[in-house]
Amino acid sequence: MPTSSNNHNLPTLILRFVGVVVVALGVLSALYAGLVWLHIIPMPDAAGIAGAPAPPDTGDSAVSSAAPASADSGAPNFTAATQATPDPPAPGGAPAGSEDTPMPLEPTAPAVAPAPTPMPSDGSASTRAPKLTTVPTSIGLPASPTPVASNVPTAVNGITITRFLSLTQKVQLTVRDIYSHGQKLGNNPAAFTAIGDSSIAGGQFMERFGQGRFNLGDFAYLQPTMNVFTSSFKRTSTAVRIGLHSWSVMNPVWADKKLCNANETVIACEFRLQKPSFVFIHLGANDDAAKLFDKSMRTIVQYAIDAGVVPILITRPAQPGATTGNTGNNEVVRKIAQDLNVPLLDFALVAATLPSAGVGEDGVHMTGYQKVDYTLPSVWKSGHALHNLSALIALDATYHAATLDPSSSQRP
Amino acid sequence: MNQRLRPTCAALAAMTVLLVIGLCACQTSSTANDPSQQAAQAAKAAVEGYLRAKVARDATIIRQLLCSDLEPQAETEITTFEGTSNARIEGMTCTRVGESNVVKCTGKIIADYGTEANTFPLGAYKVKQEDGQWKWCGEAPAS
Repeated sequence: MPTSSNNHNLPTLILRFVGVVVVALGVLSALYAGLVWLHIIPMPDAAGIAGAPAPPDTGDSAVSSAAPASADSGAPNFTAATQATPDPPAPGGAPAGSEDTPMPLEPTAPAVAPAPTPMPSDGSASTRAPKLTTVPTSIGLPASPTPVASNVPTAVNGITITRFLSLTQKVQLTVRDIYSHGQKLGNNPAAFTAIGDSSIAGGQFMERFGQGRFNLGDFAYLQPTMNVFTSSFKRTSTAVRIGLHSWSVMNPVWADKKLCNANETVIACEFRLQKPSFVFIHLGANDDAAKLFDKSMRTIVQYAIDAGVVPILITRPAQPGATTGNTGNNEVVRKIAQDLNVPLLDFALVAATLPSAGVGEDGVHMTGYQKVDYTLPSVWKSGHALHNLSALIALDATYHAATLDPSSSQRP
Repeated sequence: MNQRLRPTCAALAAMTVLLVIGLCACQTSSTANDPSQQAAQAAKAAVEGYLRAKVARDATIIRQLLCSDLEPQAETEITTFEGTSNARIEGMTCTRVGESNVVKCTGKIIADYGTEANTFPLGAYKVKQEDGQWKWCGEAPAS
């Protein structure tokens, strides 16, 4: 009886050979695709990705991440909505990033710097061309190590970042010095805080990013920096209080008596509790004494500098012709930032693009927003939403300026 | 009532009144002559006076009652409630803690900002005697 091998004639063998080759190629392709998907190997061609149609944005997928263990250990997981790309499967088959199976994010150490916000050189205020950067394709996984071409937004509501964020080379040098000093003092490199009045009270400031899922839309490149400061987004500063004035910040009476020591000022208490490396300063709504405001603000900024905490000054939304809200204090803030070479987030410029400059009927407090989703058109009309996005951009840029390796710095 | 008893009752009432007056006088005399009690009263008065001046933004009294150690902070103290309206103290009761240089107060300061009322609970304060006068010298750790 003939064996099966005896049935092999040449056409059959060729067909079988072709079949085996096709199957092998298929397996290899699938394996390769899987590795690319898991970011184990880089994307072969960035242009191909940019041209590929993006999956629909459901806004529902979410992952959890942890802050760098060295600086933020113990912080609760941080949940963020992905922008467009579905999450890869986690070991065991469960979808990574689902709300039920939070997956810690790879630490984003200061040495491995994520994509920086475009920074201006002195005197430059023009929109920069899109640059090569590292863009996370999936929140919850480390960003692709291969730089990919991406159109990193250079403006918010048409106002270029270089225009509303003053971070000149001179300022960057100061930032680096302050940050370096702060690290020697033991400040937490993964912590920021805020000092402010009712404009940013009530959980309306950066806490919004820590309250649940969010979608950064085109600004997803900011995610790695957010991962560094995970716990700060979940915390409310003791130095944010309704009715706070610039001159109250150095006054123990205004300090939270449940958390602060006797005779401890508002700023000293907050710095002791949080040990921040960066502080947003948003004051002036209540300060109707310009001279005292100037003096008090300079005292606050100098206190931060001496404590090794990089101050990021913020101007307030200013309605044209407004007589309330002490919008004239913005000029004082700009002057102080310029005099002391510290970062300035001139939010008033961005707010000017919004209906009623992004403030409500009282002319002081910013308009709110429901869902933290920067793909929604409504968000781009909200004062608080753009304020928070602008602040995030400022934090990202300032953080990168601060943590730049001195040996490869851009020092002239 | 028996008419014979009326003078007796009147006499008893008069004696009682006199006794009470006498006791009060003795007590007052005793307090006035007790240096410890005097100091306690003066320290308490300094703190209460200082807190009242603070909410009233009375720069003169604030400077008078501020101890020399805190003179550099006088401006900060004077402007504590600058920008707020209707700053006031409610339910203030202050007592010196034993023979210490601490006066403990209960009650609160309320200062309005727009439609919001900011509340600042009163606490313990350090006092210091300078040139015979008790002065407010900042907050004391809560015991």
